[in-house]
Amino acid sequence: MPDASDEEYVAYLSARLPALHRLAYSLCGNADQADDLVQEAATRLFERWSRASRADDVDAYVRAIVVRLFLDGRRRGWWRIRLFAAPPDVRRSEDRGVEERTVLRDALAQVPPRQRAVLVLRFLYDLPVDEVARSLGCSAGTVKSQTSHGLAAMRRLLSDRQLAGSNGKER
Amino acid sequence: MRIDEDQVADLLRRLDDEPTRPPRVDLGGAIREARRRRRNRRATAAGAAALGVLAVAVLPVALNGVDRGAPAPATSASPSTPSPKPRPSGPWQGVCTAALLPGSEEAAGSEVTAGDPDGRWLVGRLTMHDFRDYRLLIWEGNRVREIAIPGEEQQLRDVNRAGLAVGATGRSLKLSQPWAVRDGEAIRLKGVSSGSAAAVNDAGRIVGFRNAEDGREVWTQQRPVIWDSSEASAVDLPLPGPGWAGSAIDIDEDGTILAEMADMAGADDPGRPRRAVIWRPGATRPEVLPLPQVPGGTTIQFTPVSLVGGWVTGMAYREKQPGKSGRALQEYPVRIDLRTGKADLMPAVVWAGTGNARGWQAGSMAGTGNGTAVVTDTKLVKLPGLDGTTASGDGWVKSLSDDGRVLGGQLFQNERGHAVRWTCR
Repeated sequence: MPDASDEEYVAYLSARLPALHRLAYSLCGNADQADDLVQEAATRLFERWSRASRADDVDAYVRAIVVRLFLDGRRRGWWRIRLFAAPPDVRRSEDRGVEERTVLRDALAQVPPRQRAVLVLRFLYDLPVDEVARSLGCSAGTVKSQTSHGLAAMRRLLSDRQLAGSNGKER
Repeated sequence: MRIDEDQVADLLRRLDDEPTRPPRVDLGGAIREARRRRRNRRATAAGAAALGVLAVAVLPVALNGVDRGAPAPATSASPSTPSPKPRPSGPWQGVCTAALLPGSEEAAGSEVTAGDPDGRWLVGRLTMHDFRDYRLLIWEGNRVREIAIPGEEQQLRDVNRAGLAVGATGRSLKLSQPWAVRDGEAIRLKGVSSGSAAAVNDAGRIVGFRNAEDGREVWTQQRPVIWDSSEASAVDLPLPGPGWAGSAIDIDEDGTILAEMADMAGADDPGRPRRAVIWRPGATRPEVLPLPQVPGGTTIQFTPVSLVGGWVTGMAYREKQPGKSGRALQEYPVRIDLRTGKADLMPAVVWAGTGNARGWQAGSMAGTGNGTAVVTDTKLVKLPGLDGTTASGDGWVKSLSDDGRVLGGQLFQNERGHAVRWTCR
């Protein structure tokens, strides 16, 4: 027999999987780990679906699950467990600006996880400080200080590197 | 190279690279895992308290309309009808055995998704190693037939006594397509650009939903529909009110239709309380069934699961602390007798299962640990796993015959789901 609540959940989440996967990828920098992160987030969301589906902003709720799992997983390492066997990521070599992105990615990967999450949400996702604070479960002041620390760390990491085509007038 | 914080922020804003492949996420697996965790938590926490409340409920023993003669099947798909075993007779004792269904040897997993009221037909699917790749199966007794339906995420959701099966394909409700399967042939149901078929009765009438063009979100766009036959075009069922949305989920042998709906007028909120809506044969207007009363007070929502033999089964929800934030809900398994309108509490909760013409339910246990169970009007009977013990009975029940003697579903064993048939005496 059908279960309408399941269907609602599947309908909601299947439409958002690419976006959540992209967010997870931005956070952890690896498509396989992003899969694991979203898989676990999907499980947690279903556990709470009867309540989550009533939230004012379900998208923000799910985003917060992904971000907190990322931060939590950095501590506990659960996401090293692979759910699907998959070939390694192969970047398309004809991509323009691939080098710049690789340099940026490498730098971002070296920023501490909490600062990285703040940077990703603030700048890649253009979310306001309050929204980032809700996602991370911290105060707006903490977001601001983490942003500042994160940007400073990125600046240090990038200052020694060649950023081809990143910002011509700065070179 | 010198670079300042503002430039870093600017670079990050332009960091638009994406994963080099689409996500590999198994939502079905997420649901199964979430339910397993939920059951485990219930087993150790609030379950005992919930069952304590339910124990005060007393159900009427007299059951009307039970054991009525089944209509003769219409044209059957096959000339002979192999049956696993002679059907046991006499009073139902609740002694059951589980057996694997054939045909799933090559698959990563298999499941039964529905069955007919006699337990002659079971329908289900195989999960292949790509998790969106499903092969549909129809079992008649122990004979199995593979069915091909174009699309992805194929699922059969009901089958009648003549073996006419209905279901849908598609990754999301917005993209879903309604199908019927007759004599092994897939028939795209007509009259809807997208939608789903949920149930079929012995007269061949099919119910489900279509997606309205004007719906902004999944939860506001579903409209309950009926197909008079697998060849007919869908017809909209009259709504209880202008903003109501939802899906017809079952159709009884007398033609009564059950839908799960909510008043979505002016709402972008998927959390509007669910209600059971019925259309009786010959009536011009639908009825929104009253919210059941439970020992703890008034319920705020009733989510129907099935309609068979005049019984609507489902789950009613009451706010544990009305008005408080968080809205923790207490659930109550309820059946409603459409002949009298009387709502009764069932003796135990089972999840995501199905009902039969005696007003019984079958599904996954809640509150008493992992496992599958039948809940009759008086008791809970745990179903065994493949080794005969109830300890290995973790899984799902999706089909319960009217006499309670044939059930279909899935058992988890060795990290794999297995399509199974339980037979009970």
